[in-house]
Amino acid sequence: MAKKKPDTKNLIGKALESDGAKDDRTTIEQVSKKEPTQIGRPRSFEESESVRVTFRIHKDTNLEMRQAFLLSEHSTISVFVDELIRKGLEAEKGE
Amino acid sequence: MSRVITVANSKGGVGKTTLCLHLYHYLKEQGASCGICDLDYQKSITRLGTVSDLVEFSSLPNSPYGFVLVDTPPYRTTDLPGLLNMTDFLLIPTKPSVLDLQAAAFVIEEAKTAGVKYGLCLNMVRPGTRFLDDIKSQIEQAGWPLMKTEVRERVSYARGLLFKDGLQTEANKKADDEISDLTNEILIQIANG
Repeated sequence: MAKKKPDTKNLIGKALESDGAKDDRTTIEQVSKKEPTQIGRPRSFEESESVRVTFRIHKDTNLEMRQAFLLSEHSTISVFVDELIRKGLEAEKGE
Repeated sequence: MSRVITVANSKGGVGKTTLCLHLYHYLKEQGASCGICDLDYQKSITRLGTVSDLVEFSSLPNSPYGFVLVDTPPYRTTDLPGLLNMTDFLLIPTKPSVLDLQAAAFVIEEAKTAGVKYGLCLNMVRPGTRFLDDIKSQIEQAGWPLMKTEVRERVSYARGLLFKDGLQTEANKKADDEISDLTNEILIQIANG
């Protein structure tokens, strides 16, 4: 006999009625106030800017960072890029 | 507040976007109010044009939708801790591969730190191989929660992305069953709090 499948519609209702796994979720504004560096990329960031950012990485990073950048694996490079974009945008704001 | 389901793995090509889309279509088909937040800088979902319910990151978790699925970029991003802070369930797709599991380990560490419920989902599975058993054994040894649903490698998943209702037009019952089972597992996790 085939195993009876759970009723998705019923589960949807239960999931929505539940308190949620994260009762104490902070809103994006609260996170922003608490840890500004942990928040998402500014919404104005456009793909076209990535070209400029890439240039900034090569131009401004020191030798040690460049070596690390070249030697690191893809995911680590991405963290570098992420951080550098952020720093670049922050510096731009401050100018 | 919306129930936020984040799909993340710092490795590319594990099927995050594809799973995210099929979960979205299935939830909608089942009558749920559902949106997608596209955090992948490749903007694959946004560009696809088949999803009308796009949610801005800034409106999480207070979107007008009951559920929001979040697609994330294929690398380690410093945005992840902030996102996990708002996440009800984190789905970590991984191919049965050592390299993919390595990448998943980073996300798992983030999940543990954030105290968010999570589950690894074996994706693009070719069943019946000894290697698959080895991988499962590694996951068990590591103590990582593994979703019971395994998503097999099927052309339907790629083809289903062409349609506004995903797998409905594609009409592959086996694929539809896998997505349905996976959705149910996630909903149970959220419902149990």
